[in-house]
Amino acid sequence: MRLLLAVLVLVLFPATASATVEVTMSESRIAGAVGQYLNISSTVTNTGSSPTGKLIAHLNVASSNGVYVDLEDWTAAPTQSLPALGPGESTEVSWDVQAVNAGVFNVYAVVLPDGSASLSVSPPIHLEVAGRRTLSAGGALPIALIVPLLLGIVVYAVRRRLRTTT
Amino acid sequence: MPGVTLEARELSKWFGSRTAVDSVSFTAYEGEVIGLLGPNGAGKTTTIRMLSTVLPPTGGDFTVAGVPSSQPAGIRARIGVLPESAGYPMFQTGLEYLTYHGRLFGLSRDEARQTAVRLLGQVGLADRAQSRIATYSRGMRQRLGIARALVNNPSVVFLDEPTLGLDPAGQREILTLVRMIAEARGTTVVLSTHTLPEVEQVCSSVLILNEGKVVVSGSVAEVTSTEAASRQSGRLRVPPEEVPRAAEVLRRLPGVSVEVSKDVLTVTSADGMNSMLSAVLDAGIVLLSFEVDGARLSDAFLAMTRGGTS
Amino acid sequence: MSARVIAGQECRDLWLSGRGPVLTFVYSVLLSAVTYLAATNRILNFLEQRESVNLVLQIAVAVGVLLTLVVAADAISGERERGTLESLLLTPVSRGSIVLGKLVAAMSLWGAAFVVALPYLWVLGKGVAVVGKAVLLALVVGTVLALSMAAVGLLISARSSTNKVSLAASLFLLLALFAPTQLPAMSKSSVGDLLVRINPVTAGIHYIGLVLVKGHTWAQDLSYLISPVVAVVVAAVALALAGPRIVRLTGGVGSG
Repeated sequence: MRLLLAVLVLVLFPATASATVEVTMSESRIAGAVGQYLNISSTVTNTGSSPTGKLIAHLNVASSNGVYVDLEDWTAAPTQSLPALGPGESTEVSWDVQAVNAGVFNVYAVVLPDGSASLSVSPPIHLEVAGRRTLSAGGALPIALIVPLLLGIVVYAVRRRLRTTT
Repeated sequence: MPGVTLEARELSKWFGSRTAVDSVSFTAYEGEVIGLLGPNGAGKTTTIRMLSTVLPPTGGDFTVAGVPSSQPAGIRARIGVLPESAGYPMFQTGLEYLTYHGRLFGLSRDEARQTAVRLLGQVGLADRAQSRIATYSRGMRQRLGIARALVNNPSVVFLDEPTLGLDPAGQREILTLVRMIAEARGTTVVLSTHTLPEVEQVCSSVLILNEGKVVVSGSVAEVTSTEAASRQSGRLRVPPEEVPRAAEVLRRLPGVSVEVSKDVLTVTSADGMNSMLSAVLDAGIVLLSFEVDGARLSDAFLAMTRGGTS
Repeated sequence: MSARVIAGQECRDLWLSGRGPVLTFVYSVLLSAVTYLAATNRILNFLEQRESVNLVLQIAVAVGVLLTLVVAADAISGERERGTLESLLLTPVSRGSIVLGKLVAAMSLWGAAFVVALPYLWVLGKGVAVVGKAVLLALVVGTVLALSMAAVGLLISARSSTNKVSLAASLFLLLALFAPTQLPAMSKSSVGDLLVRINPVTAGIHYIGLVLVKGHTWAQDLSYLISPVVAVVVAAVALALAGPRIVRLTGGVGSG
C-alpha cells in the first residue's frame, strides 16, 4: 500500500522529485604555499528533468590536521548566488581563495537549492599548503644595485660624449 | 627672358577677423632676388608661410616652379626656406642636421651626406661640420639654415629676416651667400628684411607690404623713382639770428615744408634741393652747412608705410 | 620610408641627447627601491612572492607608460616651442609620417622600460614559475597601454598651444586614469566592476593581478582586456585621421 502511494506521488509530482543538482570541482588536488591565491572553480549542473529555482553556492574549507580555519580570512565572498538552471543546464562558479595557513585542508562547495531540504555537495579538493617561502632579500640586492649602476654608467657615457664633442 | 618660378595671385590670409595678408599678387623669375619689405605686422612672414605651404591661404592661389598650390608636398620638394627665428636641434652636429634633412627630401644616406658636406663648404662651415649646433654663433646658425634651405637644390628660396641680430660682418656673409645662390644657381630668392641697404645691395626687385597689402612693387630703380621717393629732404644750418628769415624765405617756395629746431632747418621738397638753396643764398643768408638725405629707397619705404617701424 | 628616417632621428635625439637614458636610469632606481622593499619586507605577512612580482610589475607598467606619455606629449608642442617644427613641416614628408615617426620614438622608451623591468621580475618571481607569465603580461598589457597613451599624448601635444599645457594635460589624464587602481574595493560591486572595465588602465592592471596573483587562466578574464584594446584602436585611428590635420604651426604665430 505504501509502495503504491509512493509510486503515485512520483507520477503526480515528478518535478519535485527530479530537481536534482550536481556539483563538481575542476580539480581534486591542489598544492600551494602560504599567502598564495588559488582559483577554485566548480560546475553546477541540473541533472533533473525540471528547472531549479535560484541557487546559492557556498565554499567551505575544513582542516584535516586540526589547524584553525577562519573562512573570512580565506575568501571575502564564500557565498555566491547562481541563476536558476533549466533541465540539463549547467553554470560555472569560481572563488578566489588565499591560503592563509600552512597545513592540509579539504575545500568543498555546497549548493543549496531554493526551497528544497536537500543540499548538493561537491567532492572535496585536497589542498596542501606548504610553509611560507620568504623572498630572499640577498638575491634581490645585487639586481637592485647592478641595474641602476649599469644605467648610470650609460648616462655618464652619453653626457661625457656630449660634453667632449664641441 | 628667364622663366617664371613663382607666381602669386590674390593671395590672402585672415586670422579670425584680422587680415594678415590682403590680395597679394606678384611674379618672380629665375635668378631674381626679390626684397620683401614692410614694417612689423605687414604680412611678410605670413606671405612666406603661405608660399611655403606651412599656412593654408584663406584666398587666392600660387604656383612654384609650375607646381600649383593644390599640391603642397610637390611645392615643398622645390623650395628651400629659412624661417624667421628658426630653431635648431642643439645636440646634433651641423653635418648630422643637414644629412637628416637631405634624407627627408628623399636622398639616400650617402647622397645626403655628400650634399651636406658640399653645402657646409659653400656656407663656410666645413671646419665646424662635426661640432654641435649648440656651439655655433648666431651667424653660423643662419648660414647652416641657408645650407638646409639648399639641401634639395630648390627652384625658389625664401629667407625670412636672415640677417636679423647679426653683426655687420655676419650680415655681409649672408648677403654674399644670397647673391651666390641667385647668380650661381639661377635660384629665385625671396628675401624678407627690415634692412633697406641690404635690399639695395642684393635685390633686383622690391615688394613693399603695408598692413597686408602690396603698396608698391617693381625694380629697385622703379620704386625709388616713384613720386613719394623723389621727395628729398635735407638739413640747413644758418647763423642763429638768421633762422626766422631763412624759414620765411623757404616757406614761400611751393611744395616745401620746413621744421625749425634751434639753428637747423629741416626741409622737404618735391622739386629737389636746388631751388631751396638758391632762394636762401639770393636772400643774402649765410649758409653754414647743408646735408641731403641720400637713402632714397628708405624715403619710399617710409612714405608708403607712413613711417612704419622699420 | 620617410617615417623610418624620422623615427631613426627622433630615437637618436631621445637616446643620445641624454633624456632617454636619464629617464630610464630614474625608472631603474625606482624599481630597485620597490624590489628591495618587497623582498625584505617580512613583516608584511601576506606579501607573498606572486604579490611582490605583481607589485613591481604594476609599478613598472604604470611608470613605463607615464614616461612614454611624457615623451609623446613633448613631441610636437616641444618642437613647436623650440622652433624646429617649421623646418620639419617644410620638407615634403607627409604629416602622417611625422606622427608615425614620433610615435615610434616615444614607444622606444616603453621598450627600454620593459627591458629594464625584466631582471626585477626575474629576481622576485624565480622559484614560483611566474616570471614567464609576468614578462608576457608586461609585454601585452604594458605595450597596449603604452601605445594608447603615446597616441593620446601626441594628439594632446599637437593640439596644445604650449608645451606646458600639453605636459600638464597629459599628466592629469594619466593620474585620472590611474587613481582608481588605488581603490581596493572597486571591483567588488557591479558598478565598481563596470568602472574598472571601462577604464583601460584599471582594466589592464586588474587583469594582471587576476592572472598573476589569483591564478586565473589567460582566457578566464579576457574581457578585462576589451577596453585597453578598444582604447589603443580608437587612439590609433584618431591619430591617423586627425594627426595629419593638427600637426601644424599654430595660427598667427609670428605673422609679420
